[in-house]
Amino acid sequence: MKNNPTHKDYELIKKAIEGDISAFRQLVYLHKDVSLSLAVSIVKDIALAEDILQDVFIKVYHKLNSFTYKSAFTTWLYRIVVNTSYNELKKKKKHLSLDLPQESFLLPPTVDTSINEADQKKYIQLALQRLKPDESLVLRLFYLCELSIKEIEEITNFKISKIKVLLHRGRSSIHFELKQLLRDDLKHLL
Amino acid sequence: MKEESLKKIMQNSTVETSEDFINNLMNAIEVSKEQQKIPFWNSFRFILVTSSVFMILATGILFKLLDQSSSFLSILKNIPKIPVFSIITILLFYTINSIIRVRELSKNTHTL
Repeated sequence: MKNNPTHKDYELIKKAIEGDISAFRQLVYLHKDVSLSLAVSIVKDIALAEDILQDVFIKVYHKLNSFTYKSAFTTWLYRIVVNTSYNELKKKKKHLSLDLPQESFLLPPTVDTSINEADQKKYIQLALQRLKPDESLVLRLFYLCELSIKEIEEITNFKISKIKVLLHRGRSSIHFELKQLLRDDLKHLL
Repeated sequence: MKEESLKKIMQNSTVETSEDFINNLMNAIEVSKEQQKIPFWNSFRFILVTSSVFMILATGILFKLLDQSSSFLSILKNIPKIPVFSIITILLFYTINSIIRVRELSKNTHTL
């Protein structure tokens, strides 16, 4: 997921600016899931994150002309996703409940079964949901999007020292949360 | 936790959008494109023309009435003009604002 497809993005952007709506559709298709993951890291609510993402892509569609091609499209897009999500978080903070219904995710008390891929995904997402927004965001940007600390700085406006601290804390926190969720079965995941 | 393990775990942390996300998005983009086509001035043209006509009529009537000499109208002449003018202006702006809001609301419900 590294920025290798930058040129493909550029081509799609150019086509979309010329009015090719299917090019924009393809652009959305390529980046929607990672963008949603970043929004979920911050707002901790999938439905709200989808709404945010919809607004973000509408904004992006109308502002494509202002894209300067100086950085990767993903850097530009993720910056908009992160800013919009933090703004939404500020607005809705009082109404948000960060506690998820954990019962539905709890591991059944069987010993012999190893966790399947779908379950793994659920546990990982739940563990990330329990992390602080900044920590899970930085973890996802670093490991999922495979961005450098400099690029993360550009997207989040966090200082480099803060990003390093968040990464360090995030690593410990995710390990702790996964251990809490999976107990002995954590070794199947690692 | 080893760096490689964490990387593997995080690669599995993608949250997928709902199936109809792209279709809903493309519909929303179409709607927003349609809305952008309507010039901003169009929303105000009707209101501006209507309120201008009303204001000219009201001013004309008021001036005509104030020119006449009757005991009732002499009371009106003694009313301080600046506060009355301010109140009427505020009320007028409030009414215009309400009309614009209603028009925009009805336009949005039509497009949705």
